[in-house]
Amino acid sequence: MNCKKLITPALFTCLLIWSISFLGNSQALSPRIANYDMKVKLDPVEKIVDGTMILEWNNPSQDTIRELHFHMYLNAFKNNRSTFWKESGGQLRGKGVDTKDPKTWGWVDILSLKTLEGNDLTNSIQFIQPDDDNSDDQSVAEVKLENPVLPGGSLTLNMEFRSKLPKIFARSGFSDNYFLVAQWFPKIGVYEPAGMRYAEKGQWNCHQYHANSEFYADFSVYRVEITLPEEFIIGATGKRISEKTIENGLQQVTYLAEDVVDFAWTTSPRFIVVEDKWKDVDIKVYLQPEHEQLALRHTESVKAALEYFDAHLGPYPYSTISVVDPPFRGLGSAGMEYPTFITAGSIWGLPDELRFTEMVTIHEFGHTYLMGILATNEFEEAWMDEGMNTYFEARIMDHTYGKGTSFVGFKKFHYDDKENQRLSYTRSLYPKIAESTRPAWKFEQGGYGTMSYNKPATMFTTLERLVGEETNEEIWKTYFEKWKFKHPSGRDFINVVNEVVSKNHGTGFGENMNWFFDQTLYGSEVCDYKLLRIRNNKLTPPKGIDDTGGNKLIYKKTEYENTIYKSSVVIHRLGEVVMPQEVLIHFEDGEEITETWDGKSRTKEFSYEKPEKITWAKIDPENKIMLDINLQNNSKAIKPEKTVFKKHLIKFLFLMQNIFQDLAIFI
Amino acid sequence: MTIIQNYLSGLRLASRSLKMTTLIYVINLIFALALAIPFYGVITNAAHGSLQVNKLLEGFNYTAFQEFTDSAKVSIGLLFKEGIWLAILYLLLSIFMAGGILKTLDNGAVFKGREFFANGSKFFFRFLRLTLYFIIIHALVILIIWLPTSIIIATLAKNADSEKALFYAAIFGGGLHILIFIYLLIVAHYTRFMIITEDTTKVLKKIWASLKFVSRKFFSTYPLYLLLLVNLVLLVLVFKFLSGVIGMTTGFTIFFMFLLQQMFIWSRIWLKIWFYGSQLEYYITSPHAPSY
Repeated sequence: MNCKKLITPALFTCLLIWSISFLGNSQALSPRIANYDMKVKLDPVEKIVDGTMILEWNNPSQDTIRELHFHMYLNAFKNNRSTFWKESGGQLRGKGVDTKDPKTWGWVDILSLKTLEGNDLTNSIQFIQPDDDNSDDQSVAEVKLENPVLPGGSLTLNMEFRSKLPKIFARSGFSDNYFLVAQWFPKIGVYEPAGMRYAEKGQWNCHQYHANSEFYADFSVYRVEITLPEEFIIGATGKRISEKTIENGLQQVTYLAEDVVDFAWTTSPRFIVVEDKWKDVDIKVYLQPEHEQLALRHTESVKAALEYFDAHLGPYPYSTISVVDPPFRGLGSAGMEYPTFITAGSIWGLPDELRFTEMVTIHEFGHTYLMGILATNEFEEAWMDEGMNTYFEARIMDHTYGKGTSFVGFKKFHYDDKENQRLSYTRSLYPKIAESTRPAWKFEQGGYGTMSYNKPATMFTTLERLVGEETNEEIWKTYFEKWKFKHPSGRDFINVVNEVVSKNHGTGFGENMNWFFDQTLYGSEVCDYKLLRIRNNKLTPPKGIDDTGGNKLIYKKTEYENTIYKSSVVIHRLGEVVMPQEVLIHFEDGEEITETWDGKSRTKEFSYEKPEKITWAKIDPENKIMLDINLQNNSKAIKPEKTVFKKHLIKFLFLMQNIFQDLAIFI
Repeated sequence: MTIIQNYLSGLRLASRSLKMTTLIYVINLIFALALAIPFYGVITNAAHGSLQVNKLLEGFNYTAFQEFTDSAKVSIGLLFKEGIWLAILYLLLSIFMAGGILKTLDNGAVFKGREFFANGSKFFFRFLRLTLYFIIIHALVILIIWLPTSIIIATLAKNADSEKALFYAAIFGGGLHILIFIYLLIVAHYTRFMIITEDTTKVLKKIWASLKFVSRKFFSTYPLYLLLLVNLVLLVLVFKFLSGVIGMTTGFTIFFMFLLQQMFIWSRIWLKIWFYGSQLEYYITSPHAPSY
């Protein structure tokens, strides 16, 4: 046996592992289950990334692991037989695909897979379909291990892979010489030990790539060396730790990202890079040249988001944030999130009053927290990252750009983000289409967007207003502190809510807040309370025989000296969701009474006998229950103010007169 | 006569046409009221006494607006259908009145009600045919401009580095369309003048004659039209400024704005008569005009 031949590779590998550990040796914020050391090369003509990877995987469980599961996301774009393709119909994010062009398609192949000991596992790679019966889908690969990984043990694999990037239509790929390289390498799935999230026993949680799903991965250290032509400007997750020019007009750039769940990168020779800073965080915006005038809109919105999350959730733990502005033919890659690296979206000439760019930038940055640090399972509980993040997005937008005007801010037509979110849910065609807790790929009849984004966001706004700002703030901060750099489930979040609400409000909201989530999150019914009627009936003396004095006499009085009204307000619960209500009742002398009601019965009446009539009444006067799908029917006045109708009558009259006169332009 | 002289002649004629302007204004108001009165009923009923609609008094409130229009959409839909019929009727009435307006101006703006309606009746079918011809011509122009523009935009969408080129292409196509549209309007006006002054029924022949006339006198007819358009632009700017200052948040300001709006409409109609007057004067005083 040639010992030298054995010692040298073993020593080299040990040094390499040590170097990975060393480079990833800043104080670990996360468990760092899977760590990747990659060397990749981009061929911008063939749209191919060739790479080698050393993957170190640590078994987080007490189970003996006999197989590994990998996400092979790019295989979703291999052909029209993939689950992704079948579910999306070949279009996503409004963009269709040219199926005849061979460059359209994408895939990822594992060319070689070996353990540190040299066991070749290449031939034991098999595609599996844990979610459906589609045997043609290749977005999940299983690798059977010759030597299992023992509890608490680890495994190091050497892999060679090739990724063909598709033409961008769903997040990742290329458009001309612009590349957004995401979900691009074989990524190991998450092994959930018993007790983690909903796992009753240890299991791989590695779903196929669906049209409506996003992603789920463990916290890792990524060290990625990228070789590409030197005229290409590159941006990526994490921090650039080295760059150099090498032979043949190529450059080599290395990035290090620690405690992140993903690694994505972008490159294009057309980028203009704008740099800024917030505290110790380096901000880089990779802009298209024609969007250079929009630079400030990107940087200011990122800084607003950094500031807000820092104050209301927790400190930003990374030193960089990169924002990518895709070209218009690459907009399929816009509006996406990767740790410390987001894609926004803008269009030339976008007016300042249309804050689409700001909204997307803030939303995608928010995912750095809600998905990136609170690493929820986007496949199974999309509402957790999308709904929570959409909620925070509106808070930041309204805080930064003004209530009533934050999203669209023209003088005569304006609305804010929170309104937009609520109305997107309440005015949707089928607000009862599904419950928000459905796994992302189970929205077969539609509703994924509304039920994962807007309804949960509105639900969180309702929760905030019900429990109060102080308790709400404590809920989110507690949730963040407890679950950062972990994989919380919906149940974990609800437990935090119950804990904080109970501490601050005792049994003021019942034993716990499960009643709230059972209806609004796990249920699909709607909330709708209507102020049905107001009545003011003058009380008159009784008629007929009065025998109270012992004799039978006819009642003589026809009226009381002082007028008394028997007034009532009747409320009708039209929806199936029950919410505690406040009702404000206003009398003609200016007196106001606020009644409280548990909201349970189908109708509720409040009655009074007073000299003054009720003039108007309003359910939920402080607009706490934003989930109520119709706020218009929450109030009623006996004699509505006519001024507003006169105003709109006059405006309508004027409009019609002008339209008729415009028609006469042809004469 | 110079362009300015024709411009001022038109003003002179319009100043003598106050009764005619008021008649047209009243007809416009009646038609608009035919929709506005039911609209008032629709909105008061749809609100069901809700306090939320009051948010639309001070300014704009998107939630109140959206939920209100949702509750009223069926009734508004019916009103919209009624509106289309009224619009068609108003268009026909405008064609009718054009004969009366132009003949009155041709007679030195001496307005006589009976003659106004008689001339409207006399020239109605000629002007109706003219309007239909011009709608067809305009549709062809749209095809000629926008088909190649669409092809250019589609090509740019596949090949251009950025969307900026697409916007420029669309702006160019739109600009060209507006310029040609104005040209067609001018030709239509002069066709009417020819029909009125020569009392002819040969509409197609006069379209061709007008086309030749306007083309030959392009640097007079087009600038005159643009100069008259400036009147409308100024009127709109003044109105926007005043309405911005006054607002519509109280009973008093709503009433005041109503008056201002009606003055705007009346002025718009009066400017239209000025338009006709100036161009008609130009046509009549142009050399060789009768031979066309």
